[in-house]
Amino acid sequence: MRGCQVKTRLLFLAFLVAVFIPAAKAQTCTPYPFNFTQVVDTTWSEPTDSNGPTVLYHSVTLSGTTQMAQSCSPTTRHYAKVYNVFNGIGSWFIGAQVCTSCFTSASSTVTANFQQGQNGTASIGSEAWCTAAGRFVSHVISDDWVKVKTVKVHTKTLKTVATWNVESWCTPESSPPDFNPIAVYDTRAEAPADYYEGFTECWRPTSAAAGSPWNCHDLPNAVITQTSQLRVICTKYDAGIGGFSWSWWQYWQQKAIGWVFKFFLH
Amino acid sequence: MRVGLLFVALMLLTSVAMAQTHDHAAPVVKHVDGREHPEQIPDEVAYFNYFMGRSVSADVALPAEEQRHIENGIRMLQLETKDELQFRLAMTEFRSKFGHFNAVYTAKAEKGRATVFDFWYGPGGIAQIVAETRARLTKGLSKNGQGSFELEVLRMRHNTTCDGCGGAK
Repeated sequence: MRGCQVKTRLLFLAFLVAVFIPAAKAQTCTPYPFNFTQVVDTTWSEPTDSNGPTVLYHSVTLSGTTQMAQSCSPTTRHYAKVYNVFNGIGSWFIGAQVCTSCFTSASSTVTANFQQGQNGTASIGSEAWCTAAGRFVSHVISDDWVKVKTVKVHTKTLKTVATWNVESWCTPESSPPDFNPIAVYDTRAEAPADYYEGFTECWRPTSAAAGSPWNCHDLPNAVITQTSQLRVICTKYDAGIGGFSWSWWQYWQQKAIGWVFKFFLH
Repeated sequence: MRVGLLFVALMLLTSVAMAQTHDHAAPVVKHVDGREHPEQIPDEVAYFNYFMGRSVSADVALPAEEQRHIENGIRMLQLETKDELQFRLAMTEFRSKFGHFNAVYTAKAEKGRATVFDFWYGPGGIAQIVAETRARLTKGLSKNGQGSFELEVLRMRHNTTCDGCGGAK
């Protein structure tokens, strides 16, 4: 009878050990604090000729660290993954699996060619995963889609050191100025360049109706560099700076050059 | 008695399985969208991301696309030749220091002896490496070069989304 009581007590003790110890261990295995950043970085290379495309490089990176308790299973791994689809190209990219407290990173770069005035779209997102517990960081592929807009600006006056006031080459009448920077920072220029060319990212909900306004970054988010090439980008070629029609002006300029050549050749 | 032993064995097996899972739902971390609040992205995070995006690890062969992306990023700074050399040297040194630190940190982390705080703010950690790189650039770059570089970091700050930024401090 007494032996039976001991066995019952032992069984009860085993039950308590089985239930409460793992619960306590699980509580210490919480990933706090974590520190993950998603960075979107766009760069571009200049076209080789006035009619050539500009190549845009669109990169998405997720990186960070997670604090885990020592009691976590040593076989558990963490990894990052990023979603980068630029103008329909790209997909998910998965980074290397690392230990739960190690620095982890995933990065994807996608390129796309853009003709002047062409708009594009980009879809981005990122996640961090644990092999034991699933997803624990999520920058969802949200309703905010990215649009790349090209503009040409022309220099006006020096504002401060290396910062030049600019105005858009295209007017509201010739091309709706979604992206309309008012200044550029150009460290190379003792005198300003003739023209600048820029890209920026604009966004609006995917659910937005056609024709809804875009939210665009001006400076400092725009990428603007100098160029000597003037390429027609306005969607309507009716009005340039000072009310002149650029196509009209270009036409008579070319005619005049032709006449000068003809005069000297004869 | 056998039924009792089987019960205990079952409970122990369950407990082992439970101990191997872990709870990712508990922490509430601060979310910062740099598009709306660029000023809330901590300096050490913003500069670290920028330096990582403009440097290459010596022992990793990057795809050509990513190499060109990094080159474009440096070219877009529009630095004078002397400044560009200084910038490239600083990035090489940054990547070398990061690689060395991360190897040591990873070895400790694998044994459960490293914390997020150690990664960012411990001796020789990311905050220190970033500060040293910034000091080198401040000393080595011309005023125009510095302005251009700072503007690019600001641009990247706008394109950063952060979970748990500053949480380890």
